Amino acid sequence: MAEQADPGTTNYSMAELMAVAMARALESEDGNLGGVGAAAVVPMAAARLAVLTVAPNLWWFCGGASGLNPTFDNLPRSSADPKAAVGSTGKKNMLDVVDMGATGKWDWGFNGGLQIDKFGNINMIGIGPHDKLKLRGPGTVGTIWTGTLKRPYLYSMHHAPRILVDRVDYISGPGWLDGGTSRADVIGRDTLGPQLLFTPICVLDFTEDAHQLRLKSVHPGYDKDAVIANTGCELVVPDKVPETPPPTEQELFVLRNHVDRDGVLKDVRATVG
Amino acid sequence: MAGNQDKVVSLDQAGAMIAARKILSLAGSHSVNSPMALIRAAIRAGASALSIIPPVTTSIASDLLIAAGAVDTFYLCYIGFETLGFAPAFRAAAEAGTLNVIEGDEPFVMLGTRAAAGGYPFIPVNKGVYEGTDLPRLNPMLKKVTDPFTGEEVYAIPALPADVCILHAQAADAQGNAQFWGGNNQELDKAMAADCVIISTERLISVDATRRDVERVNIPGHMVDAVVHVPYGAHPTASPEFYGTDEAHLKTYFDAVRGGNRDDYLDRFVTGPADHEAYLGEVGLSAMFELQKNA
Repeated sequence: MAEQADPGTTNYSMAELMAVAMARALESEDGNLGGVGAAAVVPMAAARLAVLTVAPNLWWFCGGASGLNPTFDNLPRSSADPKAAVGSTGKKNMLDVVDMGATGKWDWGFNGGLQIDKFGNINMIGIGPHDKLKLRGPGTVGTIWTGTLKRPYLYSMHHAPRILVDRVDYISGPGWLDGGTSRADVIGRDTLGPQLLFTPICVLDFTEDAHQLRLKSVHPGYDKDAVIANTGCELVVPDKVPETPPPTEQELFVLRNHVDRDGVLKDVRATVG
Repeated sequence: MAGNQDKVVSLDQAGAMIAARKILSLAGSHSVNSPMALIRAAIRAGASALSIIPPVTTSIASDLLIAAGAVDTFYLCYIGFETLGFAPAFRAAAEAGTLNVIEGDEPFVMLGTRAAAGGYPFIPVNKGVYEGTDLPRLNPMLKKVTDPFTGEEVYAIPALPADVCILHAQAADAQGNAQFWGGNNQELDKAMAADCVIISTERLISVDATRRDVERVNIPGHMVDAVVHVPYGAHPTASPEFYGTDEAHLKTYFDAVRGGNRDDYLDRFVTGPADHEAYLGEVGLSAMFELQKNA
């Protein structure tokens, strides 16, 4: 049964830790243009936090409210909330977003899935035969752009064997496809596949050549056995797997006073099992 | 209807106009500017067997129509309740096989609407957009065709015209000149892609007021067939600068439908109240005032 991921401390919630870990990863995207979509409260917090900490020149598009580089300090639960566009430096039309996806102009973006497989392919369509789905998913939304994004980043607010699977039932967002050179061969574009996958118990990356899911760090409160037990696909597990560095006092101060003053991330569901 | 200078109708009249049509395009997004009062009026007017073309993200607007049994075909891009979970009526109907789901996506819905808006039979996209995904296999409306200029294979997205498009505005005048504050500008193409355009509005303003603030007009009145003055017409979704999303109400809906008490919700908030004022009575003044703080 899924339970709320517990970092083993009351100093921060797992959603706060995830936002901090994702923000740190955006340091390498400083100066680049990316975005977050629907059901993206944690990536929204991460992008805002990254601007205030490690990536001051990040360009980012905030989903339904369509602001570029918003400066909200009370994190909205929805990227479509008009508050998510407060203090933006520009607005985008949805049609521009599609045009930029089709022409491969997004550098980075966060996407999730109801299934994610060992090559980082994502599925928002459903589970089971398409004419009789056992689980009808919410629809592909912007996940199709993982095929044209230069560097997709993945996240899931749930870490469970039913979510991290060997092979997704359907590909709504292409990852590294079958691994190796298959993504470049099939999509025929100069884009990289998924870079990192953030879950409530760990951070994963992908091996250099086969592009297979690999454990990168484990969040406080969990160990690599817990990750393996809650993962439904084969994982590359290095001998030594470091702990995800917990949020620093400074990161938590900025997060709580300049990003999420209402404490939305304190009760966002982030589950394991 | 360009010549008509007064397009103001009652909410009941608008509901009947929607219920008389089959392909319904919804504007707004999942949590903002959903034309909820028009949707409730359409359900009360007996809307049935609708095909829904939602915005790229939708939530209670589409789910309520499905919960009321008014929908048989749904053009999917994304439907959900974000942090609450999957859209309960959509999921139940799709899994039961009582809802025909067209497996769409952002380019399919946006470019299909653009094509319908401009009268283009289809819009081709480069093959790389869909290569490696299962969408072409799952969506029979996507066709692989040959680009007549280069000989390359491309995917054709067909025009997605609608019989009626319904939108919730922050301000509109009696001619239908309408302002939508916030959002990502899906409104204009949606209106252009529909035979009939119905706008509900928080404020019904004078044409003089429109002239003073023309930069904010997103849809000119010549595209509009009917205007309905409905304060709180987007509730329980947000109306920018008027009120925030009613999270508690969304949870009430979500819990009712998921918990098998769909009819209780419909009785209390949709078919029970005789009109929009009675609906607002059920929501309560204190809740409405509270939502204004969060606008």
